[in-house]
Amino acid sequence: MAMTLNGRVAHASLMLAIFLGMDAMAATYPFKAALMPLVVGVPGAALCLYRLWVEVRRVPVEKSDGRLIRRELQLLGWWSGFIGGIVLFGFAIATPILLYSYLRFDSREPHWRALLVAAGGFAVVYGIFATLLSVQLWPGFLPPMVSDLLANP
Amino acid sequence: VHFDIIVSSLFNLVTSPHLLGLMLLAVPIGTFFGTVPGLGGKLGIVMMIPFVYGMDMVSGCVFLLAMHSIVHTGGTIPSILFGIPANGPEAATIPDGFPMAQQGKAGRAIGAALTATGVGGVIGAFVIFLILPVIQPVILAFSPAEFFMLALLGITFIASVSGEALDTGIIVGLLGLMVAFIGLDPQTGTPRFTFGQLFLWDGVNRITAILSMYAVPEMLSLGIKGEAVSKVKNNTRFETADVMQGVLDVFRHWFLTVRTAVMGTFIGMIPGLGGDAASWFCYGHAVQSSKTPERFGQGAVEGVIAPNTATNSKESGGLIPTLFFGVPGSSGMAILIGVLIMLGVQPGPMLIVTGLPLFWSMIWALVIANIVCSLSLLSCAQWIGRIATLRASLLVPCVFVMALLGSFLSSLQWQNMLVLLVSGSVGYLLKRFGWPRAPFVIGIILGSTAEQSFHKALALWGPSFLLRPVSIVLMALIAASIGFYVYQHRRRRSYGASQAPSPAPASSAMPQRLG
Repeated sequence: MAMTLNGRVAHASLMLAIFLGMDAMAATYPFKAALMPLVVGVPGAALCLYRLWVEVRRVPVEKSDGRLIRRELQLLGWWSGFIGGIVLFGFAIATPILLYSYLRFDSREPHWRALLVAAGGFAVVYGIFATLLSVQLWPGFLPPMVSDLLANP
Repeated sequence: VHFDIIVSSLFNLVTSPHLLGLMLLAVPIGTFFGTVPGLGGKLGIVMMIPFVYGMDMVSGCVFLLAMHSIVHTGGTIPSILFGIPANGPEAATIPDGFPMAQQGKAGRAIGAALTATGVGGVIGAFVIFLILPVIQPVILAFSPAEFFMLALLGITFIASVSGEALDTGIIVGLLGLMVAFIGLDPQTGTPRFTFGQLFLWDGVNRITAILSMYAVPEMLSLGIKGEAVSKVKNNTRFETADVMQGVLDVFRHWFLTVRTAVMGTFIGMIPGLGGDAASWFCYGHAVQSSKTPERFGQGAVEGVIAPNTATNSKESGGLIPTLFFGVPGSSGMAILIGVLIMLGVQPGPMLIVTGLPLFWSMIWALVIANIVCSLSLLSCAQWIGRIATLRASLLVPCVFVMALLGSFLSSLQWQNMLVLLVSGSVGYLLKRFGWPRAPFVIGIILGSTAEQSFHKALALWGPSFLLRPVSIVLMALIAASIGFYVYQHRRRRSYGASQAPSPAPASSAMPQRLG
């Protein structure tokens, strides 16, 4: 039985940590508020512990693929970038820029196709949602600050 | 009165250009999500959240249900032409549909599959029409005690949607329940797991949680693969006459069609069983009831008809527990219920008194969408098949934006996007390591119902609420559901052990998981 630290073990550990953390927090609540979280969370933590034990005992059948992990991190980076970009700059500004950047630099799409999709994205977000449906889209943190600065230099 | 409501709902639907237009729009969108392998109806619903935001209740419900009900109709095409199931339920079409395509009978298989899905959807609605007056008093007799037991019953179905991975399925289901407890405790007002954040007092937004389990992991996974969704080239051509032969096959085997449609509707009513179970169960029934079962798996048209009839008929059945008990009939319905609540629908027994026009509008939307979808796909099945070759690189960033839009619009809070980042990463890890994700959705949907009903029942009757007649019946059902799962699990294992060297025959290839 060789103890192995791999993705599966790390994942089971993460789930265990989530349950233990929530159980510890629930234990500080009044009885009525803590009842259900503890009824659910304690068996959850126990099952995670069992799963962790299974994963630690399991002989890894696959070697960790460095390229796959790099690609996963890249995609997670893009995903975080999309969220960060939209939180900071809002949907209307960030959407076309992010779509163009992803298609051009990650997917290596031709310049014209990336521009076309970016324009389409802007048309959907700004044209359909903001204008046609009058939906109040997130404006971002920076554009209102910049317009405030420009209005009151 | 009941009949009046049924007729007036249909009249309102077909005389409103707005609603008709929405249904017609829903058909190509549902077909798109159904045809591209890996997208599916669940992702379709979450992607449509930004579009239904701000719609009135009936319009939003009609649009979403019309779209969701025909997803599997489009999904039959890649299953038959490429042998690639776009979603779980369509996998049951492959054992006979794909061999038919290989034998040059693709047109006949597609004709039969599309007609069967359309007819199944219509028969499913008719079955609901017949049984609703019978089940109405049962629904109205439910109290918090029964709701608690029903929520528990729904939670036990986590086992069914976990497939072979029971322990991981239960862990994920429990995680969903824990996430459902985030926010102010309904009894004491204590903020639970809110980290001092005001926006979490109302709990984690369900739409955001659902997006994080489906849209984000699927797109990250597609982006990582970085290839066309389907790499198999469409080299199957067929004539209209072949398609018509398939259409007629459904009526030639009319008794099988009706039987499997009725079975599918009833399976759809059982919370947690879902479409995979309905289609495989009916496929198995077609094999068992055939005088020549040896033809199945070799290209028998009955093997195409049976699962497809059930796939769409179960959508009508799934609406009963979803709308009248707040217990989703399947993982797709679990997502739908979240969006319906956002639109202002309050699932529960009172809906059978106050919300019947809405219910029947949804049933009629389902019927009309099925008919329109089947007819339109029959005329352009060849071209639809090409959608499955769409490149992931174009799809991924667009879905990212739509997911963020959906998350923000569901409660107009920018913090939802940060929650999406964290929970989406957890969702991806679940997918990456093969942990089922459907139990999370069931957990988050049923968590608050279970907790609130428990406290209400305890306040009304004390612990004796467990001894109420319907509670006892439901407890017996919970025990039966667990017993059935254990039996099925053991049977599958013993079958797997005896058949280990050779692949299992199609008729016994039960779904692994509703992920």
